[in-house]
Amino acid sequence: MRSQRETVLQAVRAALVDVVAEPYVALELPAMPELQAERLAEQFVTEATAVEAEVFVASNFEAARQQVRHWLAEHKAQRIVCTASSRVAALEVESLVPPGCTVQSVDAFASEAERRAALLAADVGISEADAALADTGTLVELSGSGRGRLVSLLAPVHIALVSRRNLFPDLATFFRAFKIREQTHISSAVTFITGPSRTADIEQILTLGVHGPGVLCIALVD
Amino acid sequence: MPLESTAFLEKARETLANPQLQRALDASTRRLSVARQAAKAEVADWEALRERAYQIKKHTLENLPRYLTELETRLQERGGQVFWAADDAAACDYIASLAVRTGAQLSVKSKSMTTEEIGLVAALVRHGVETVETDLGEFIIQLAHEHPYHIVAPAVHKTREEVGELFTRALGAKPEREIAALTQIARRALREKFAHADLGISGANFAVAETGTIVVVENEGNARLSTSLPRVHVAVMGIEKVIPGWDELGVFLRLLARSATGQKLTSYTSFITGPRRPGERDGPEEFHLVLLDNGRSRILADPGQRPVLYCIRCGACLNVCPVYRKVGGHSYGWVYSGPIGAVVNPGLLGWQRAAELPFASSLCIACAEVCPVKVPLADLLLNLRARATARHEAALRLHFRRKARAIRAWAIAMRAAWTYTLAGRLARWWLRRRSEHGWVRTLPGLLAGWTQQRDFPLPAVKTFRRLWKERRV
Repeated sequence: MRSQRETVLQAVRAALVDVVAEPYVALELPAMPELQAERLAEQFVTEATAVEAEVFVASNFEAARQQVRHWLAEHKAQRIVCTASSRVAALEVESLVPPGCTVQSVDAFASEAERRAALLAADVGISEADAALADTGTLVELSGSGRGRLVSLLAPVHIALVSRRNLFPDLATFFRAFKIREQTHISSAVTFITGPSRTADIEQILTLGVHGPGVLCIALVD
Repeated sequence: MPLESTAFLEKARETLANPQLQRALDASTRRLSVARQAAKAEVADWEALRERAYQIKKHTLENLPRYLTELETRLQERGGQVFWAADDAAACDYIASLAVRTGAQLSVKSKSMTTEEIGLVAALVRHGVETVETDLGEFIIQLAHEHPYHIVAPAVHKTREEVGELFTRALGAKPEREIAALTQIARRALREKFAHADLGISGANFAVAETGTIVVVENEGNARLSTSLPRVHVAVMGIEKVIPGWDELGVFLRLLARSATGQKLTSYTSFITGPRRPGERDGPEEFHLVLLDNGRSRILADPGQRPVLYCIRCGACLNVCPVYRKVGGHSYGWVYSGPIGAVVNPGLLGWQRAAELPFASSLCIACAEVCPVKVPLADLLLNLRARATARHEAALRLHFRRKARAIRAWAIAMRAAWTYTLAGRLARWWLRRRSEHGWVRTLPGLLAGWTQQRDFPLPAVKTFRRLWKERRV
């Protein structure tokens, strides 16, 4: 008996007997406008705000810390889980919340079950995005050690830091840079986050926070 | 026999007779169309982008074995497992035995037309695996034991009151009428499922051959949860979804969300390449990709219909189709609806089983105009019509004999000015005699179709030619 693989491939090959092989002309991407860094930041803020994210442009890191303190208070954060990035560590989140709040790093759990329980119970997740796309207001997160794809997903509020240096004009330019960087090691999960979780499945009326965070706060830092 | 007495006609009549459904269909398709137009307007190179997408699909499908095997190799290098399925049964068996092998009791599924196509949920339930739809619209549909109504908006036909009653009955939730509160009920019910699920199931909008990556596009976050919480993730995709590389992916991502909902990008786009790597804290331990044929190679073997496989399932053609907007999704009788359903369903099911669908079109071709990958829907519909007609020639000859007689009479009337004038006078006299209060309510014989769903207005008292003559004098 032929395997399913052979059956499908045979059928596909047989289906294409009429095709005259044409050389594939590689994609020529249209030239992207060269945007200045300042313009990029401005565009990112406009686009992210348009998809219901809250964006804060920090003049320095301390300003970003204070904004995170403000966001945590505003959303009455009690249980916070953070990724282990150095920028997130530099926030010193423990010092930004009143005593009694728990602040845990995804790397600091004894077992996977404990990590998952904490993530499911968290009311705020804090992560650092690896990149951002200006023309769609998108955050990009790569999976890898110390990161974790659940921090930006399970809690009802997601606070993200992103560096201006990692701001790309659009997804095409990001893909090109990403391919070069990841030639030997494509991340098992890359996630584009464009605004909070949303649905319009009941009567076509926009509702935020259906499965993922309903609140997305982004601090743009240097 | 095209559109004489089919399930399509029965369902269509039912939908037309339901005013609430008519309002919902009209409002939602209009909203999505307007959003699409606005999103498209701000892309300067939209037409070039569409042409690009068409060329990429054409090239990839003409070289499909090469890209499928490249996808397979790259994914296996990254620890993923690939299963080729010739048909729905093979795909369902593989996933069911995977569930049994991994001891899965509960699986969570994100929205995927392909899993709907193969009847995966029912197959898993038969094997004792509880399977929960997690997209809000699909969840509602599953609780109501129905099928999706629209490719991107499955529960478009349900009102908030109906959803509230459904949640109270099926989930024991307290009665709610606010949409935000209903959404939170679903969030809580489904979080419980996500937390305990052993198996996560998703579709794939695209698969990138050069790195073995699948791409899942969504707004709610349920696909992210389904693909990162359970310890096994299985993705099901039709073999036509593969594209060569990331540059090509960029073209499709710019087109898809804009065409589907008018967004630049959906809230979440996940690019998944195999299971979690050493050192990663989360993500599935096993990743399986099912490459599904299920009739696709048959469409591929038919050069005239091959572009059916270019479709990226954005649903834009549904929203502009004057037939879909009236008869709704269930009339098409299977998973795929609207103009694309009218060519996909006969292709996948076999030309005989859905032969009437290509006739459910006014051939206005708004569908082809909005298609982001330039699927030539007019040609595809006409091809299928010609085939259905050829096959049913004898039956059709009978059907058309009466029409032919009417057309001969028309030809006589049109032959000379005096016969035309006379025929016009006769027709006006006859219509006026049949009318009540200025409207013709019913017409006999071949003309009955016109007045079945609407009234016919009386012709103007003065003809155009009469007015023209008076003007000149």
